[in-house]
Amino acid sequence: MKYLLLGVIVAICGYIGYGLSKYYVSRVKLFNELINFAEKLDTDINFGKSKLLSIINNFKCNSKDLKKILEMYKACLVENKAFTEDIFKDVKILKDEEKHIMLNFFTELGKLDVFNQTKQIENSKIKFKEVLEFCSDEKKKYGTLYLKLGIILGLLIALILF
Amino acid sequence: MLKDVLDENIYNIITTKFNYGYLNEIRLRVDKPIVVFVKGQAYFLGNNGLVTAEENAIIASKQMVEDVIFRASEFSIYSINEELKRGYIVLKGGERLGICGTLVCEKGDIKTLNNFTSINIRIPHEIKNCSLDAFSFLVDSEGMKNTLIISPPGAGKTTFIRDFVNQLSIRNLSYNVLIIDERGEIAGDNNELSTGKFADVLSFSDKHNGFMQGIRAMNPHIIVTDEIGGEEDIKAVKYAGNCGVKILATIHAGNLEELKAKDGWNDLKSTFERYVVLSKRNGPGTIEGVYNENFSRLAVWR
Repeated sequence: MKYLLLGVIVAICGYIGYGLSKYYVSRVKLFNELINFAEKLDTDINFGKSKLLSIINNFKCNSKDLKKILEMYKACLVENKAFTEDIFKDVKILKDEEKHIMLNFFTELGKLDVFNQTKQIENSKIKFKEVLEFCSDEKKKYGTLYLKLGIILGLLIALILF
Repeated sequence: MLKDVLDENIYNIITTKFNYGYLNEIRLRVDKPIVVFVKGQAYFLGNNGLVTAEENAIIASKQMVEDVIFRASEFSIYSINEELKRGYIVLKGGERLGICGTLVCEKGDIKTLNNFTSINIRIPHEIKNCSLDAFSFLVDSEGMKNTLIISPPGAGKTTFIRDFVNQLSIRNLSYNVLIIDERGEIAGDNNELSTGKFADVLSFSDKHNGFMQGIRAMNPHIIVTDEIGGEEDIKAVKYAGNCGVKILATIHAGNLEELKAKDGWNDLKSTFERYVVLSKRNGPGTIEGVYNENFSRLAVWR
């Protein structure tokens, strides 16, 4: 029974560490997918002149957070609120500066002719790549660190209790 | 649809504060009062409906104008560049949204239109039986006469020809009718406006290609088209006439004198056997007269 309890404590601490590291993983995923989305926009606008909503609907998104943002963005477009921070309502992993960059991107979407829209997407992609680089560094630094710290903390508590 | 593009407040006013069925046009100009044409008469649009005093009118903002176009493009301005170059977009309900702004040209070619300043939304109407009074002069036991509908803009030409096609269908006159709908106004963007059971619609095709392709592909008895004007249009109409296809077309002119003064009229006059003059005198669609090929009046309504 005692061993089982200690095991549970280690698992809980490990899980907390995993939760903290997931934050960094999710951020990397979000910006990775955002770049993929921008690339899809670029292609679909240039070659198909596809409508914005159809591009979003056809985008297979692997980031839960970006999916939420895109869903909110679609809803806000219809309600004429797409240019407010409402689109980030359900996403908690973004910093203010990152929200600002994304909002600039979404605000201009669909409002320009093909040439200028493509340029705007290209410029945004450069910014997203910078943020992704920063997020990747963060993930390298803290992502695995929190997981390890969680497990170590769990083991430490287990050791003390033992 | 108008509901999808207009500001919610404006849409509510035009659908609840007066009879929407009589609405012909809505004009939004940046920083100016919104003007609506109801039964051909101009009014300002106020929060309580139609007003005549400018101070009670709602002022259109730049944002409002841009939003309408953004929504009309389904949030994708880049996808409507060709429409912007032409100066209008056709909405799903067949409404035509004319746009003014700054034309961007390069080496004499129009590249795009931006910095939008005005919008003119024309509302198509299905006025049942509006062509009925003229119908018997245009169709007899020998068939349909080549007919030209003449009127100034906004006097019901398109409504007339749409109803005429419906009248053929109601009478089970099984002519194959081909509608060359260059702007999507006769049958709507997605053929949502009724054109009867014997009509085929070739949408968003210019007249030259539409007539050539349509005659080859669909073997029509009658071709219906809107707003003939340029040299190419006249050639297309003549080509159809020479192929034995009957034509129902419209043209912008205030009266027969203005028609005769038009460029290309001499090429066109041998084609038509009937002329119907419309005006806005008693509201759009008022038939002023039906004339034969010698311009003798066959019927007049007062």
